[in-house]
Amino acid sequence: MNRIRSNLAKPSGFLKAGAVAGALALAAAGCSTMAAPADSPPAASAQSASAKPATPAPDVTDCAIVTLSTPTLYACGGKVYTVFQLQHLREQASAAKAGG
Amino acid sequence: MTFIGMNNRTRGKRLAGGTLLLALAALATTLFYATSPLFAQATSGSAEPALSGAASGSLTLWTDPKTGEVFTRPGRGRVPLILNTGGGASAQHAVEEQLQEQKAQTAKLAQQLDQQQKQTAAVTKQVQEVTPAWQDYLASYKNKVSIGTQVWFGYSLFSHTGWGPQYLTQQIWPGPGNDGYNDFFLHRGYLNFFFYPTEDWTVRVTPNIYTMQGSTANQAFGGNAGIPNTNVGNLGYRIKYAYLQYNTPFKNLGIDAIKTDKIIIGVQPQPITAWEEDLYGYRFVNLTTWNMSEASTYPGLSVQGPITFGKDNLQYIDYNIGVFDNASFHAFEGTNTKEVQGRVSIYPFGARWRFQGLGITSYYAFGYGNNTPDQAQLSTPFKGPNSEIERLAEIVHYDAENWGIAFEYDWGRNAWSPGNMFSGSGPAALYGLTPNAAFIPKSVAINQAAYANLADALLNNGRSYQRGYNFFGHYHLPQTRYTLFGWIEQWNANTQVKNNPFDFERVVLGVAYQWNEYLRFALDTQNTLFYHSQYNMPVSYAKQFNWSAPKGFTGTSIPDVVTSDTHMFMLNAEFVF
Repeated sequence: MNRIRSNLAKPSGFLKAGAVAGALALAAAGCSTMAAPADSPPAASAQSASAKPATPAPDVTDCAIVTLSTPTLYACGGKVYTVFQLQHLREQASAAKAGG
Repeated sequence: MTFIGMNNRTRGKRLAGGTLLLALAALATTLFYATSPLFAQATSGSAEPALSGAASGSLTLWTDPKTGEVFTRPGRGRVPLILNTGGGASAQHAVEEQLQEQKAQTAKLAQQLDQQQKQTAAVTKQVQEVTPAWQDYLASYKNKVSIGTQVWFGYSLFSHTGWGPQYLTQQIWPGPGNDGYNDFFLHRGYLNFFFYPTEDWTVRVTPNIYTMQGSTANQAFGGNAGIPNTNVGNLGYRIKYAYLQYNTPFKNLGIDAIKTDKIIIGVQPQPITAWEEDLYGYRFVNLTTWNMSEASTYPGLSVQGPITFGKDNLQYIDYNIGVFDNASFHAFEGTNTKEVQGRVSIYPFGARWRFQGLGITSYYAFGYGNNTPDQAQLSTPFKGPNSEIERLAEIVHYDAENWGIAFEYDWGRNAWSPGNMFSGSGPAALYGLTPNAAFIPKSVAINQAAYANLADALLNNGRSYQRGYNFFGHYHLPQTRYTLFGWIEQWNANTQVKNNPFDFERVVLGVAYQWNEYLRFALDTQNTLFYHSQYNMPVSYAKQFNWSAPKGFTGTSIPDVVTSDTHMFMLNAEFVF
């Protein structure tokens, strides 16, 4: 976003468009090295979420909607979670925090 | 024994003491050891003459018949006295046999007991492991059925009411002159049932609560009574989705790229709307563009899924291609043709999840107006409702986990009817009604009728072309539960018309609050802006589109063809489970 904003500040409209496109391409290229199944069904996402997270539990507010359905799927940290998994992880993290 | 005993007692005095004692000892020894062959053999040497007979089951003594004395050795005047000892050896043998038999029986019983114990243990274990049928059913049910819901509810406050397209499904409002109109409204009430009988198959059934709209005609009931129409405004129930999904049609082809693609048959989402709703993420606030003129759901058959490559299984293509009825899920099919729709999304750098990164999406649909074949063959100057219908969308989108933007270009042919134009609110004459004369002067009502006819002429003439530009996206404010979102659209209702008064811009801006994983709220403003300057359209120009003057209209131009804007504020709530 910072790159996008700085490029948008340039006066030329053509340059603006080019900068936005370039920034998007760079961002996309940077993300393309990440690995995870796309359009994951609930079962597949359950597998990806079953592993003990090495990072803090994902917060739904930081996630992207993948599918609004039963269950709704969110993408967090490159993985796809069901809302049930996100709730479970959040409650686990809260319990761990409360327990010191 | 009795015999000997009797002889002992009656004849004891005549038996030599030592001899008698020896004989009795031998007899007792023989009898005692008869049951113990080992010991009998070991001691047999001490009374061999007598014991020799014992081996055959008898004991030979000698007796003097005259005196009745009994001797252990033969002698003069003595005769053998053979005593039957009862078959000691045979008895011993029998006892041994009995013992062996007893041992065998004991061993057999022990074996049977052991077997019985094992069987009992097995039965006990089996009984312990037996799961009641209802538990088995519930365990199976739990793994093979998902039940959920999706509810959208909102409160709308219209600061300015005008005519125009609806912002959300079934949302309506009164026309111009009703500023301040407000309502609570249920936009969606899904019950989602998913069944997973096997890995290969999924069944979905989703009834939806919706607000009923329809004819306002009252009905006769008996010869002299009538009943009011009670359909309008009721919350009805209808099937939104009901389909069978084959999850693994390509699994056995050995092509990893399409191994998760699927085939769906039934009443299902068409390729663009549901997909774009998920891309946008705020469908509970406003409709996506093509969903304003075509239903999201059609009966039909489709094949869809991602195409993935590489060791990381990244998605490079996502597609959905199908054949559907020309009629949507809430209409009868009338045609002898079918509609083809397809969407292809390309992710040139690969996507880790459905929308991740840069994506380029193309959507195209080709179908026909929903008319029966005989009506479709009628010769009309402008085959409005009978026409071919095309829709196209080109979308460039980029999605990250905290933000997303998209630009969409739309093109259509005969894809925007007067019904779409005024789905939220429209002039009464468009629906064959006459405005209430108490509020609308007759001259104004005639002009409204002329305006309604103009909508029909410009938008329903069989040769209309649409064009749209959309920009939408969202941005999550870091470390908060708030997300800014918006949708800005310019819509040209028919590009064949100069200064088309039905061109408009739609502006949706809002902020959403994520309460938890299941619940979101949004506060937003939604606006329909008819951006052309007000003017009077010459009748001569309108007639180029087969406009017809309503009864009583005598003017040379249709006055004030640019209708007023609509501005609305809305509080939305979404619950999805």
